[in-house]
Amino acid sequence: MKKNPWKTWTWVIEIIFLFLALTAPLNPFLTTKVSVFAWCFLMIALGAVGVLLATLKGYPPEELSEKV
Amino acid sequence: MLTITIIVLIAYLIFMLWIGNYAASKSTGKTESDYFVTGWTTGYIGISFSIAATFASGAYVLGTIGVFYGNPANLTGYAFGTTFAPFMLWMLGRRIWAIGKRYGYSTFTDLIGDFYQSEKLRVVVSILICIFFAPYLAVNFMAPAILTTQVSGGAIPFWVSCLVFGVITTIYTWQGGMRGVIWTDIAQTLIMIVGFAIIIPIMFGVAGGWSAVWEKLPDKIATYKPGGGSFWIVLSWFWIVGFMQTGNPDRAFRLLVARDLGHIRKGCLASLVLLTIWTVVGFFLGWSLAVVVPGVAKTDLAFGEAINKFAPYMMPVLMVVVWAGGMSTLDSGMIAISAMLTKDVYRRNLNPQATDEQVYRVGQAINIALGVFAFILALLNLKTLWFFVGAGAAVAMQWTPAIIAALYWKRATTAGAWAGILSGVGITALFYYVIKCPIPGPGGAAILGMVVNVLALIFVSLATQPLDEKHVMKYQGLFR
Repeated sequence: MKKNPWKTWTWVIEIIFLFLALTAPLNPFLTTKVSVFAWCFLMIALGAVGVLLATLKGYPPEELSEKV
Repeated sequence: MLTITIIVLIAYLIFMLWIGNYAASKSTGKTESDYFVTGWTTGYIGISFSIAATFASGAYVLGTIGVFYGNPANLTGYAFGTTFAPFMLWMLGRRIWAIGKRYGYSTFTDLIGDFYQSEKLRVVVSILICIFFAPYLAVNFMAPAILTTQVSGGAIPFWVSCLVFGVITTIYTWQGGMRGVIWTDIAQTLIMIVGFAIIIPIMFGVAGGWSAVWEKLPDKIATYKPGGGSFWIVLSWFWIVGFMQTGNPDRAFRLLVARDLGHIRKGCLASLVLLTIWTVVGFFLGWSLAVVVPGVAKTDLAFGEAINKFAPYMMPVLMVVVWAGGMSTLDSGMIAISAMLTKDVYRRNLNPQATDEQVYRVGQAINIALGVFAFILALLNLKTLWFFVGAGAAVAMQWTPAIIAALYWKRATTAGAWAGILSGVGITALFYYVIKCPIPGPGGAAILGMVVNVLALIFVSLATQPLDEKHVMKYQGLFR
């Protein structure tokens, strides 16, 4: 069976999102309130891309092999 | 203004009763599957709005927004959690829905009991989740009642609000089951969104506009502590919010009620939008309240105080929003716990010969009992709101590793599941209720519990006899 390459991309984006988001308090560039919240909303956007990839490309409903 | 507030509130309560009654009239029969999973007929609007309404509890409107007010920088972890949650919902939901539809599941413990082939595990997990989750039901009484007492200057006693709140919620949940819960949740989400959309611009106006809010917002609360000092608290918020949606039975069971996988997918995407709206609402209100009413020590009261002081004409809106938040979470908790007790304890163990109608009746009776129980617990009015929400979620999420393993890991074993769940619940409860957790915030104990849980699950599974391959494929073989 051919491997779906979008699975890999889904996890790459999700891991980047988690890493960048959760290390925000350690990020030396996020020292002002503008930078803190701009980064936060940027991470929300990146996380949303991860969800879109997972639902639409990486793990679509068509993967279900049998009718249930 | 108190009279208008009470009239608006009564109109809202009548509306909820009408929706519950209408939902019950759409029932396709007095069966377990209809009462607990709507006979698998729910579309993505029902799934997503119900998850969003359940998440936005009364404790969210007062307690969490109070935390957004007290330290919005820490709540970036909350924002990351709401973005991560729909990913978890999809990765877990797509598999558990397919298996649940195939084998007629209405709770996650159905999967745990069947996959791990252990009736004892099913019952123990069910009871553990119910015990630790039950206090969370009471929180939903407390937030609306606290606000009502605050607004009426004590004229409406705490217990009266609790009683009215509990009776109305119990009636429509008892009558409509999961269908009644989902339909009222849709209405309650819309009410909350409209309410916030009205209140937020008013609060910004009181504060002097967007630029004034941004200028006056203190750096002390809106930036991270230097030297990575905010790392653990941000992680803690991320953890509790990110794993709560798939861990808390009140909302997670929505993954079982869908019409088909396409609706779960759309439901996850719509949940992403709705949960992000709650985050944005939290930030906007937190920032503006921090400028409008700075320095309120008991942060749960900041929102009510700001409305009382600067926009008392908005009190009816705030009141309905808080009651909608509380009711939408209480009804979901009641139906989830009722499903677990009815199926796992009554049908499986007490009366295996029970007919569908008997199970339906017992489910209804348990809903009433839960309403009474939560009412009594709420009257104790203990600690701050977030303690109960956090404690319930932290323990409830400890079944997640065993569920993920049942869905994805062929090597998971019954002994591994026992070891993981018991150690996870034990560690989490220890650090929540007995010892001060070294990790701050609502998710600290859950992080420690989950780490121990996963390690125990993996190592004990690898050290014990694997489950029969054919049996495992009955569950994991449904997907390519």
